[in-house]
Amino acid sequence: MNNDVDDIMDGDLTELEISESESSTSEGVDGESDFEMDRISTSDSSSEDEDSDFEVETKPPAKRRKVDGPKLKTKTNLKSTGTPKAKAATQKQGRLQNMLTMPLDVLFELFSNLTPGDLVNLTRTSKNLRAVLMSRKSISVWRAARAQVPGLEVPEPPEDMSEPAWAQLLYGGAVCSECGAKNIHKIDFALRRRLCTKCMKQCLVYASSFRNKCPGLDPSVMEYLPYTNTGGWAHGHASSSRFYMKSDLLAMGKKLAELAQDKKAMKEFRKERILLVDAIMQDCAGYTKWATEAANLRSSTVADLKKKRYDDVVQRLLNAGYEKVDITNSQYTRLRAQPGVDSDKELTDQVWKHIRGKIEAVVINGRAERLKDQHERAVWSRRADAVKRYNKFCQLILPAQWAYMPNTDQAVGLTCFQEVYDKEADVTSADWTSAMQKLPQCLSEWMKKKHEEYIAMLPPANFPSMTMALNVLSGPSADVVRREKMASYAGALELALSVFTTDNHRALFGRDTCNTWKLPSPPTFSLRGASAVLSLFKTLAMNANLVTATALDHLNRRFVCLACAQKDHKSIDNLTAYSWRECVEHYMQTENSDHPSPQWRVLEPRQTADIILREKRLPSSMKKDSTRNWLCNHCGQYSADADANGWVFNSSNSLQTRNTVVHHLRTVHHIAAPVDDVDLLYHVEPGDRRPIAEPVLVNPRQTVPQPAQSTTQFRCAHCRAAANGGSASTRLFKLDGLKNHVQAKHKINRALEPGIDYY
Amino acid sequence: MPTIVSVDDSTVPGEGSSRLLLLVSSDNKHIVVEEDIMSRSRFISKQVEGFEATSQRHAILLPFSSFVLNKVIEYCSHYRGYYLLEDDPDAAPPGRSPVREWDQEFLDVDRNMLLRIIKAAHYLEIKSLVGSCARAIADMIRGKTTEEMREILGVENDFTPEEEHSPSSKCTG
Repeated sequence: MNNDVDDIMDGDLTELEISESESSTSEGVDGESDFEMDRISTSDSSSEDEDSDFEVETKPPAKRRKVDGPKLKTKTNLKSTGTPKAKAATQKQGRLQNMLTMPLDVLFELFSNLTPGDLVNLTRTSKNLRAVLMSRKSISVWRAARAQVPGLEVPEPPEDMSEPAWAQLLYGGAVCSECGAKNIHKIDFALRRRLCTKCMKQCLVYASSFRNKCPGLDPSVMEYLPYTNTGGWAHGHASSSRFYMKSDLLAMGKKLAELAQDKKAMKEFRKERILLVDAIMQDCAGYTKWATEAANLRSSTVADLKKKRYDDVVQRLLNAGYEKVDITNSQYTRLRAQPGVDSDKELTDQVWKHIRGKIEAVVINGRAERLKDQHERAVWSRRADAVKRYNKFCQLILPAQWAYMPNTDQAVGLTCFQEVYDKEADVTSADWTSAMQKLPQCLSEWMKKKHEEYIAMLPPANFPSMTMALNVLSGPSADVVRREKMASYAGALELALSVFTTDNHRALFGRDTCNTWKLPSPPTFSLRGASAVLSLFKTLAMNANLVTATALDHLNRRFVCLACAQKDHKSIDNLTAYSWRECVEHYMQTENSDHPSPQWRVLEPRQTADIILREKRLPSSMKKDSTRNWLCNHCGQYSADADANGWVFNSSNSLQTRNTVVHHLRTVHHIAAPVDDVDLLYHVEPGDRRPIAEPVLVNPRQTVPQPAQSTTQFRCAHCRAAANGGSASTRLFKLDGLKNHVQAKHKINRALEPGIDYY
Repeated sequence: MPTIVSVDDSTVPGEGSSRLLLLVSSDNKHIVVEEDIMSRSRFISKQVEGFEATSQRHAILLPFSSFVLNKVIEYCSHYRGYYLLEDDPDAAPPGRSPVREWDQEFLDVDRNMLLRIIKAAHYLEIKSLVGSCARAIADMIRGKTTEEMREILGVENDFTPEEEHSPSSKCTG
């Protein structure tokens, strides 16, 4: 190998930044010959005996020379201390360190198979390799590499650039030539650089700002330098603006200063530079166009290659027996994200062997997710079936017992249904039949568990035990249960003393308490409420441990609060009359300072009757009856015209007004005088309680205002009932007119009751 | 260095349709091979021409082991009678070596062995084998970053810190 400095290609040194000291090291590269041919000696192989390396097959690889001084934290260093697995892989494959001992023509043959980018990277590995690749002898290698670039033919380097410099510019990496910033894809062919925006702002000199930016420099230097039209700022400059590299300007200024003494040389130089700049600027557009087209083509090719690689991966997975649905649908994004999939390289067997494990893990995971999803869908479908079957089951049960039963969400979680969901195979009608046979037992267990949970909240006492069996509507005992046993259905929880409350400070008793079993969190036992009840029993001289809330309701007595009388200095006549439920809530809602202990007086029956009459005339009472919240306790249907198949448990859409249900009871079940809580029920949402009468004064000084004022108008409830779901009469009456109408048309000669006779 | 030594005629069974050659490896293994097989090697061809000029048959000493020599003979045997453009001295330079499937399997050996084969091929002047080996080695380097290349080639980064941090050195493809 020729060691002359001249042997190094012009332009390479500047473009690839080889210092003089580097080029001098190339002296040590050449000289020795193996088989009388040139070879490169490397730092690694310098201590080796070449012949023995060639001849002895079993000699282990020579140790690498230890580098003095602190080691730079390079990727190489990191790799060398990497995982044992990575080390093992390198050792298994072996290194090519003896490659550099090859004769030069072999090396050039080898390098001719590389791309320009590979060659640029090789020049960066070590000084020796750089020196070899920068020698004039290697120019054919660079040309061959350029010719092998796929896609558009790469243009030959401009006159002022060598092959390596051209390769460095085009394929030396998308980094800024000044600061090394990454992802700088645009090449400025006039400046022969890639520049990031920051460096453009710092390094480019706008022609008009030349005097400010380069003071003392002759503006004529700009004539001898190429320029770009793209500055660092997006706005403010015309597209024909000229920007020069400041470093180029300074260097040119220096050069001109050097030539200042030699006018002939200066003239020659200026002439050459002007011609060169013209040529550079003329060629720029062509290079830029080529770069854009090549980038587009490369991008398109890469996309195609990536697709092919992905398709290859899919095909290999299919060949391995995986299902297409687990590969191509939901797993597309995940698969593409796996290392080794999103690549434009051909998928070789070796690579597949390497990446297969991780990719198969994704597919296996995807299959597991799909099967899980399928199972969940099947479960949801089975749950929907369970809801329908549970609703149908509820239609057969006494409606008064619905309050004690789980809601649909809770019911479909019962074990009898759970067994159906968990079944791997398809569910048959026999499975459902079996589940429905087990349902009553499961419901009993559920209700028992809830009952025990609530009983545990009550103070210790000898409450009577109970068994909450569900009663079928068509069963022989249904009527007895409906009329007599429902009052004590939940045992101790039905006692008036079992006062529970929720956050709204309302008192819950009996069925309303048990209705909260459907809630995620239970109510709390109210000690203050219980003491109020105890005090009421004392007032009534009754045994608190035996009386249910329903029994107390049937007494239908009214009370006044003596604590209020004492506090407000009121006479009994001026106090508010309360039902027993109102008394409990009143005491619960008052402060201990006002009402340190509950004190009640029970009102005389005559006074109570008058109060009840006045309560019924109150708008709130009438509103309760006219609200669509009532249901029949005889047939499980909320209204006569409800469709049995379309009926949905706990659906407020199917509830009706009291009058409608009363009419239904009279006409369908032939019950002339339906009784509340026995024949018809007021539907209460879980956690709420049935409406209680609005308090009235014991003895109002003025006449209790009649609901039927002269301006108030009513409709006849009997006419609507006669219409039987059809269009009822829209005729409006004043109260007197209504009385006459009811007497004349419906032959009713009693005092009219709101809700029953009119609305 | 290879040496051509005179041998006893009886050691070389030279009668027949194709003459036989005696090749002696560096580990002193004697391998008899038909001249026709080794005609792809320009080095061997020149030796044979020398035999004819002196009317003497010789053993040909080669500076590589029998293991490598056998691999080369295997290659030459496979392409016996085939015309390979790269091996034709009168043909135009072939440029990049063509991809031959058999060659890829043949050269699926460890890197050290590959280097020995290419050296032997170069010594024997079998251009097609040199080209195939060069292509196989290039495939190991192609597309690698600078650091990866250093790792593969077993070279140290001997640039100064200034050179290391110069823009061109930062570009690692």
